[in-house]
Amino acid sequence: MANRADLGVRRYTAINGRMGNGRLRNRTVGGTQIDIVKDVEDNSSYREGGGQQPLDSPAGRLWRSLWAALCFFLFGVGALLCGLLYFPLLWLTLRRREQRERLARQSISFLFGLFIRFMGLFVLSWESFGLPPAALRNKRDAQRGVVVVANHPTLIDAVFLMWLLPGADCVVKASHWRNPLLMFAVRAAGYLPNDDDELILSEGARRVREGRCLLLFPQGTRTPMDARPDQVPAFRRGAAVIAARAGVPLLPVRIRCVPPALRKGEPWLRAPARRGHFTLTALPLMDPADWTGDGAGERLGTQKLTTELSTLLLEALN
Amino acid sequence: MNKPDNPFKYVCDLLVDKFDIPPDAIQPDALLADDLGIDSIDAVDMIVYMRDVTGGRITPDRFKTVRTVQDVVDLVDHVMA
Repeated sequence: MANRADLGVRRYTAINGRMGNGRLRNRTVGGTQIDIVKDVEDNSSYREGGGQQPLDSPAGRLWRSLWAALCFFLFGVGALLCGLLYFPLLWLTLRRREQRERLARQSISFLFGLFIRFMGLFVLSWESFGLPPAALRNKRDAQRGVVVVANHPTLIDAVFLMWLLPGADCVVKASHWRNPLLMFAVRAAGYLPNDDDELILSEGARRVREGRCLLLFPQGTRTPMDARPDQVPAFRRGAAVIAARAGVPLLPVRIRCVPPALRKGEPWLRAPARRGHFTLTALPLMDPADWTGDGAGERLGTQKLTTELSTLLLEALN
Repeated sequence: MNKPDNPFKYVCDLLVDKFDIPPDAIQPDALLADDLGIDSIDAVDMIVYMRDVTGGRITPDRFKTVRTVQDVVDLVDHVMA
């Protein structure tokens, strides 16, 4: 802890190297009192204006590109191995579909965690606040479902959030059902394809009503690189409608990557000038009833709620 | 699965009752999205409601071609014919 403080951590009240181990403590480092709060994950010393970092040099940039290539390769190999060995094994051994899909989703969360850590060795760094939400971490409270919504700046937002929300359901790009590398995983996990709105509304509401966690990106697709304001994909209303119909709260998660990396339209292997630093922040829960009540009704209420979500999640990008 | 006697009236009533569209805004050539504010989620709900009268024959793919109120009326007319 002490050396983290020495690295110039000032912007944040709290930094904690490991997830979920946090009792609230106070500690004094070099005369400065630092609150150490749970729920904060940070693997790096990167800070804006933090000066030159070891991997910023041209050689470092080349190394990061090579490492990114290795990551993509490993992702493919891992997906193939899981698809050809692990998921079929689940299929053979677990006949109950619910049980099998849950284990598949939890496995995916675990593997994505390994993958992020592997990328985190060189090509990116991250910190997260309030994830996973207490309701997911604490078995006793896990009865209440939640709809998690996030903005979508990069290719690996879903990888991050599926890791940080263990076992979450997710609305996933429909073309993955025909992608030879990903088709096994999305089928085994029982994710919802994003081309069937009616299924997403009905099945999504059913699942969160059961106390499950549903992750979706209301923009439907990543924000293209160098997008003008009118090119930023608009937030769609489905997430708010699901939460309103199921009577569960929404958890907005703001994702930020500085400098931008892995955006839509960006060459996969082009490493940014310095390693991308991800910040994932869980904002306070929102109860759809606060918007749909007072005679506003579901339609008008969820429209307003969605506008509010859009403001909350995109304001950090401007 | 009773065919509405007047498909236009049926569509109007649906828009007024379920989507709070002011009745005088509903003209045959009114654009669902631009003029009436029907978004993609509303469209899903419309399909679900209309299933009561059409028995599921209005699919999301067919509904994607719909632009105006008259298009919906024609679609209801067509699938009930």
